[in-house]
Amino acid sequence: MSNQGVSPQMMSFLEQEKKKAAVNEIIGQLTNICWDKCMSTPGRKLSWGEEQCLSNCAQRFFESSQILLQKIGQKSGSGGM
Amino acid sequence: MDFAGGQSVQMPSESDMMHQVKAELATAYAQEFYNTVRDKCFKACVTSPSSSLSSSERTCLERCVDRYVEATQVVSQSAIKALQGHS
Repeated sequence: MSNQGVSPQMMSFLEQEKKKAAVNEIIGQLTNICWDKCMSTPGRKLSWGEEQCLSNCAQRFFESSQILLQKIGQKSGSGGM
Repeated sequence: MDFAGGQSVQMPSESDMMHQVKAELATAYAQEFYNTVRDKCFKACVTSPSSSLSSSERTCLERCVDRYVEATQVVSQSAIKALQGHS
């Protein structure tokens, strides 16, 4: 019996955990950013306005990311960078 | 297994390793969450530090943790929606 390194199951497990960690990271960062934009003094519960703001913030963030990515892609293509 | 002149090493099972990875990741997430909440909530609730924490500051800090958890859920759900809507 020889040591052949990690099994396919282990590989798959590590891939999964990597993906989960990446999701956790982006959600954590986004909550951080959107909290600053949307929240002032914490109340007994999230107000409707605060909830809307947080929700909008998250969605606008991804839209913005797309636009920025496209723009940067254009600049690279034309040799501008 | 016996190697000439060598010592036999007990390798942890993959199952053990997976458990350890999960445990370490959970600890890292919790640490990160705590650090963020601590900074946000201190900033939001203790605006003019005085010689002791007032009861309203204490209440604010406690509420803040709950609100931050809820904020994370709202952001999470919206992020999933945004990413699913994108083909």
